[in-house]
Amino acid sequence: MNDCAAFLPTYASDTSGVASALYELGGMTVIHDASGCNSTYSTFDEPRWYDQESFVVISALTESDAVLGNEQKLIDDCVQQARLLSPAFLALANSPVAMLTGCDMPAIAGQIEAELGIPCFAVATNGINSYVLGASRALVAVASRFCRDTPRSPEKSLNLLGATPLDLGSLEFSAICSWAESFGLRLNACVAQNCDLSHIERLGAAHVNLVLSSTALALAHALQERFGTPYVTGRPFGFFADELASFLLLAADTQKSITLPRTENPQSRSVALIGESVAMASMARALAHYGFGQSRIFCPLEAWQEVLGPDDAGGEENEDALAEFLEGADLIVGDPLYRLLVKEGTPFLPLPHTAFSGRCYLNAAPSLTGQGLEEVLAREGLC
Amino acid sequence: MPNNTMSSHLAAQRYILPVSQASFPEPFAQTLEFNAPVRGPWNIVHMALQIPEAHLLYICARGCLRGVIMTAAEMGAMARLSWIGLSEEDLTSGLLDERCFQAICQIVTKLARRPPLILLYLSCVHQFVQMDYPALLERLKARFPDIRFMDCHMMPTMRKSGPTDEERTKSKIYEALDKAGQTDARAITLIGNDWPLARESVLYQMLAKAGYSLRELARCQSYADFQKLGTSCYLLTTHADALFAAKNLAKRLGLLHLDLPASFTFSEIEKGLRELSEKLAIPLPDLATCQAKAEAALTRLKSELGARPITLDYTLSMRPLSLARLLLEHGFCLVGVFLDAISAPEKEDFLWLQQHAGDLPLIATRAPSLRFARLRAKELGFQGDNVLALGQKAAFFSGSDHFVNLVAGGGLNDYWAIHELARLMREAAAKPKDRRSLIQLKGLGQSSCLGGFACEARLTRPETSDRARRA
Repeated sequence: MNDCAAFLPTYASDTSGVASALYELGGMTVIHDASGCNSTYSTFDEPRWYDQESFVVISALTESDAVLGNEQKLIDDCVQQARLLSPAFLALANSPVAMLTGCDMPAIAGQIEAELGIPCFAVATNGINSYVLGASRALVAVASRFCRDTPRSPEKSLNLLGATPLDLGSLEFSAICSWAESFGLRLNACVAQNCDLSHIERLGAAHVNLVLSSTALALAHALQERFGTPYVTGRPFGFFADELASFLLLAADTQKSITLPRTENPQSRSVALIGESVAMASMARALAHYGFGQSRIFCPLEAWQEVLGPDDAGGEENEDALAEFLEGADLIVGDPLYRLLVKEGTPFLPLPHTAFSGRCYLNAAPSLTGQGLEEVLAREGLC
Repeated sequence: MPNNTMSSHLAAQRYILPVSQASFPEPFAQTLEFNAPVRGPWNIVHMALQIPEAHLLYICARGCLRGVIMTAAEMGAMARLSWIGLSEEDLTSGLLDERCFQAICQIVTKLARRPPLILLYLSCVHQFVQMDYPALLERLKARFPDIRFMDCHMMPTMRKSGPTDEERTKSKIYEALDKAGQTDARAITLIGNDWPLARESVLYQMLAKAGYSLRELARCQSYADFQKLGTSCYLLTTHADALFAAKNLAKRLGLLHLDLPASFTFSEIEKGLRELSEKLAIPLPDLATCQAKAEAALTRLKSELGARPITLDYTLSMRPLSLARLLLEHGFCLVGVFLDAISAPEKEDFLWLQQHAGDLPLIATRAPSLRFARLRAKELGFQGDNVLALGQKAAFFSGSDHFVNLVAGGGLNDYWAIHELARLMREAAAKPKDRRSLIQLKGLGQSSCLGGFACEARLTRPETSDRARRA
């Protein structure tokens, strides 16, 4: 039991990641869990829940149905509701109890699809892993069913991948969309915010993919394999925005992927960053410009070694391990709720992350794209 | 699946029913569920944190932890809640019991202050892998003799096959009471209510005038105060979801228990207060005058509302059908009641409604179709600010900013509840509220980092949040 905390929250789970990734695509996402358990996702992990309608429901799994293996009820309920409300597809996500009882979700999905004639797929979840894994698998699954074989667009274009509200607040997302169209590439598709299923269908037309979060790394791999589309990982924070734009243009020209290289300057100040790997690796690059050239990242989520470096750590949500990791840093960066672990006198840059602090700082999340970062650093007295 | 089977399933899954066609206690078939963006009702975290100085420790999968943790985080009460996340390996290794024990020890030794009580929440998965709770508690007791551990449960898979998590939590809260000290013959404990009883209620006034002090969890300032709840001479309940706790506690501590249902039906109110008067041998006030005042408040309300459509939901009060009956008996234009199940104390009201208002629609709040505004507008037949909604779910589904913002009765009781509710309805009818913001605040009346205090019933403010901050 490496994941435990006396004071800190935990990250959103894989089922929330599935629902968030598929939210705007016109499907029906069914989380196979007990009545009331969808309140967690819809309250804390889904800022769109009140204002934007989406067909995310829970199966209201009961003890007796779980113990007796009454999976026919899930099938019947899905079929009935889908016939009433005609979703474009169905996605099924599993919970801890259904995992323990060995519920065969892919088989159930197959049966539902056979009855309805509507695409239905299972996303491998268990309510134990983080949103990164859930969203990642959901994006790959939906793309594998709906992405079409299309020729590259006449103008050079890019896709934004991994833009769920769990990682990107609305201000940040708008700023990234504006930035993405400012340096000579046309925005082809965005997955999966401010989009619909047509964005998934035309993913193959882009010349390059920008992976904004580790939730989309697997999708980027899949698109590279299927279409040969290269990808670049990164978020356009501060001065790093220009560098990232040049990486994207280079990748679009050469058709070779670029994983964010880390820069180290042993003579400069140190920064410890806590959070999702792509965002924190990008922030490390951006902060190097302000004299924090020695960076190390603690990613409590499923680690993606492709993005993290040898001095980085993570893969577990353990307060003690994290507190030790933060020792000696000249600056600490992370969600405001991590401030509890920061020793008095150590500068802290608070970057709200919905997948961690939920709604607590939703309205306070700034845009860090381009000059936005400088404004935040100035406000915190860090530049 | 054959079409004829489908048709019968669809027929069984109607989510709007005239009360005359509804069955008791489950009017609607169980199917996939939608979760409305209505967050005012309290959950097990809000309830348990009412115990001063207690600490909460949850052990479950991440998906289950997230909701309770973020509830505490929004309240600013993370210092009072810790957690241990389970991995797949924990569940399949056969080492779960030992690992849980070690992780709990690790957490407890890190706490800045030793709490007198730790509510240890285990979950559905522990049940499925047959964890030995008593053995775990014994080991913890030996390791931390200064701390009392209560095995609590967060088992939503059993929500429909026994006491709910809320009922279990209420029971466990009072299981932590010891028979410490002498019984106080002039003290009464009201158990199970989230909100303190309104001082204007007839129930409170009767006890106060007879020299009884009323003890309630919501007014406890310290753990010592909390322990005093077990030394009263009588236990009272007004809410059905506390009966499970009350019966257990009465039996264990040898206390007398009296249930006075928080009804809106005059005859039931009178019956309860008369019973209280007889059992405690205390004077009964002039109930006819109390009723007349409540009737006058309703008459004034009716004259102002006229035929304005009203909806109500089960989160406003523990007795939605009793309230529906009251409104219909007094000529109000009630056009729908939002609920998903009917509680046992409501059976008589349900039967009355079937007989006297058979066309009254009962509407399921979990129906997936009601997720969509276009379907709500089409199916419900009422929508918009012309509707006066009683409760947050009624406000959401009716699409009205004119609503009464109360949950779980808000501490209102007996004739005073009717009087005060009439006032709140008049206010709501006259002035719209910020529905979008208000109904999304988690745990109405709790402190929240998303907004200020949002309670509108007088004298019903619980003190949990202040305590949470102090702790």
